[in-house]
Amino acid sequence: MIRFIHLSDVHLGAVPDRGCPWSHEREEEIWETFRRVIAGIRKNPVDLLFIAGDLFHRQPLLGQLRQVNEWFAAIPETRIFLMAGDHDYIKEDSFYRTFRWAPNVTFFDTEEQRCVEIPEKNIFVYGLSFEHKEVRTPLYDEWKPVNKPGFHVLLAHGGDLSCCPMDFTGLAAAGFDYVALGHSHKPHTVCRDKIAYSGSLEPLDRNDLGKHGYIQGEYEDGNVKVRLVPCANRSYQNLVLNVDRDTTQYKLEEMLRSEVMRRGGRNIYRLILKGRVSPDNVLLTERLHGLGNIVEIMDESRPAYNIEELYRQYRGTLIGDYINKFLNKDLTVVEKKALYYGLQALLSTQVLADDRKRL
Amino acid sequence: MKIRQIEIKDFGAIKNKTLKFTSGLNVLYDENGQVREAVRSFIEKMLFGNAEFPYAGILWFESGGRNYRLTRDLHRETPYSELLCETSGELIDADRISDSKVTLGISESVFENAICIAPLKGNTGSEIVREVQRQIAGFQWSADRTVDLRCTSQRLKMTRKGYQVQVERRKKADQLEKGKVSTTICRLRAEISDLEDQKQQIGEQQSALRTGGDSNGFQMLDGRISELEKKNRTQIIIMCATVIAAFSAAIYMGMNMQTVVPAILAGIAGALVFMIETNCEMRTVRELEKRKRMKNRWMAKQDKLQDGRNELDDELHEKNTALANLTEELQEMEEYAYLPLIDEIEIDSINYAMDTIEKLSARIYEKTGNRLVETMSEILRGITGGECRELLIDEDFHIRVDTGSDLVSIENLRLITVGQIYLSLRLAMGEILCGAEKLPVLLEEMFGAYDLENAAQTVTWLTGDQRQVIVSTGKKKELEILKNTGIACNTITI
Repeated sequence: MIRFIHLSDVHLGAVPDRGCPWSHEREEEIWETFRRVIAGIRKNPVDLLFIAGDLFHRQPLLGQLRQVNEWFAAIPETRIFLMAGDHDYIKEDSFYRTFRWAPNVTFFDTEEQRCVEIPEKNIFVYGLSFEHKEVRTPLYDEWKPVNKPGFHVLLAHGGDLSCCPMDFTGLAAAGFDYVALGHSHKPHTVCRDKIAYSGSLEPLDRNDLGKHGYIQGEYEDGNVKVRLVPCANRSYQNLVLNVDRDTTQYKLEEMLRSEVMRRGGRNIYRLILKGRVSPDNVLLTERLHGLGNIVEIMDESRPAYNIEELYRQYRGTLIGDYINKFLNKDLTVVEKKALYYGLQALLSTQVLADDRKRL
Repeated sequence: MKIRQIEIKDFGAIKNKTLKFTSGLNVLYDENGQVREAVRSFIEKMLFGNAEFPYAGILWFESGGRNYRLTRDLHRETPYSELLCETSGELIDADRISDSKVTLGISESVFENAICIAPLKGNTGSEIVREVQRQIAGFQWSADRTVDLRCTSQRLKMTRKGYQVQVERRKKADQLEKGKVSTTICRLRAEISDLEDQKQQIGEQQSALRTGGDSNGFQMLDGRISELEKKNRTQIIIMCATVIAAFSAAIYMGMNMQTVVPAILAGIAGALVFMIETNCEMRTVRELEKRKRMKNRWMAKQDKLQDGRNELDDELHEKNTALANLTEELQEMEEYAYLPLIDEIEIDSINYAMDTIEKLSARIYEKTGNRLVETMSEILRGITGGECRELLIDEDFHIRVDTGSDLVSIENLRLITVGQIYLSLRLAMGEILCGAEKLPVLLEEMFGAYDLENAAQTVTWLTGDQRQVIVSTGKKKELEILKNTGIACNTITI
């Protein structure tokens, strides 16, 4: 049995959410998680480690390469295959070009297709590195494994129009036992137990929702089995809070506090407010930022107005005309919000003469 | 439009009550103000189908020359509403009554503005005057006296300010981050510049070592060493030759001469020459060693300079890479800064709302503005019996009345006249909002402060204007005044 780990898009050196209080910690956590994975391999060795591109967020510095190489050298029983992706592509003056890796590391150092054989284990690893930031031509579509028995693995990066488009169907039929993909930060399978994106080791952006980690796999008798091993330090999550007519500022803050505590205070949240609030309750969303790692607040809540009813009630007046301006139209986000802002301002500042109630 | 009859089956505290109205002056008399308010509310809810609580009743009314019967029963599981045109037998959708031509397109807001009229309440005459001014402005710009556009605008601006503060805060934070990156970039550039200076100095030192201007120059040294080595070799050859020659001569002389003296002399001479040559050779060797040492020192110096240069090259490479990375990051931050923040979308929305309100309001003013004042003047003339001929309002909302002999400011008018101005405003609203047909007016204790003459003038004009008037009052005095106007008065006691 051949055991392997497939990871990609580590983006060492990235500074996620610059300007936010947790940003510097996240920068360090990215390094720490990668170190943990290598330490895990040291405790529980695997035969192969595939890093499918974007190990670094930008051009690697010499000191960074040395650090990573030191970690690689500490797992000499594991053969490591590494390629450069579209972020850490091999520039003319890249340190990648001259760096001497530990003996257990194979770095694909050109954009030429290359096959590296481990004869004693009948393992064939195919790969190349990006030498340009943008690669708009397919580099992997015509590639076929050599006609020899063994475990054939293709290490590849890209898969969308702006970065090395791929014909996944062709790739599935090409004959590789496993295609270790990088570029997409979301771990997902393209072809079950055959072609997979490991996703980024740590989430880097508020849109990198879900679990993140590396793929652990086994090859035996021509069959490959893989599974995602989550190992990220924290996650980005969409936190939806449903508000209603009874929701006050205090209640909203309490809801958020308890939800953050339940899900984990370390995680980073995009808060989405939904529902219909009482028009008399003004919710100050800016006060919510301090109640957790809140990266963004999207207020999709609306005052609980019955627009049709209000139009009927105020037809013939400015308020009626205002509502009519927005009725029965495909509204943009700005227009939808403008409708409620204007309406709330007009209705809440009405001078109620004769103590009459309004709907 | 005229309300003919109402049958209240169940509405709050009122059960099974039928009230009939005439097309002229009606006085709804009950000392209990809540009951009278319930009747007013019943008419409103029947007309517009509000379902805040269950009620049931029937409303008969006339509009456009046709009689209608409106039935609602909201007690049932499925609320029941029916609008029957008694004249034609046609059934009309009662739930959309305000959309239809039947009720002349009036909405509840129009009902509130133009049909239900109560006197202004205020602690002082100035307060009342201010309220009249506010309602005139409100109606001119929004067709609704309850709308306060100044407060609306303030509210929107305050909300916008909250988001603007957030945006500023965020932009400051972004600027701070960019500043940090820029500072690091500047620092790196300075370091790179220093390193390049150092590299240049080393280069100059290396060039200086290599040029022939200096007698210790590499080429000169090398040349000199070659010369000395060649000289040394020559000297060694000569020395060997001297030894061989001396030895040969000594042997020859020893073998061929009688005595050994010449041989010894030849040997001694040879030895002397050898010693001299050895001396010269040693001097040559010393100089050679010295030159070699000088060359090694020069080479060592060059190597050290080269090592230093290589180190500088590595460091420069590292720093240039770091600089390129940071420059790219700064560029990304600047590109990202152009993307709208969520708060900026909120600000855009508020600006759009303010803009729209302004435009719609301007449109209303175009249709309403001057027409309101003209209509008010006409009505005021009517209800004051010509005492007030015209109403004048300037840009600052100073109101004056032309009495024929004088222009009197509203602040200097009697409260009754101010009340009449207010009544003319409310009636003018009805004219403007729905001029197709005269709307009935529900007056709430309107004539409490009137004397008989004023009340008579007002009511005469109102009813003479083909308008149904329903006065709701709990004051006996008001009832007496209205009865004594001489106009046919339908008194309804609840």
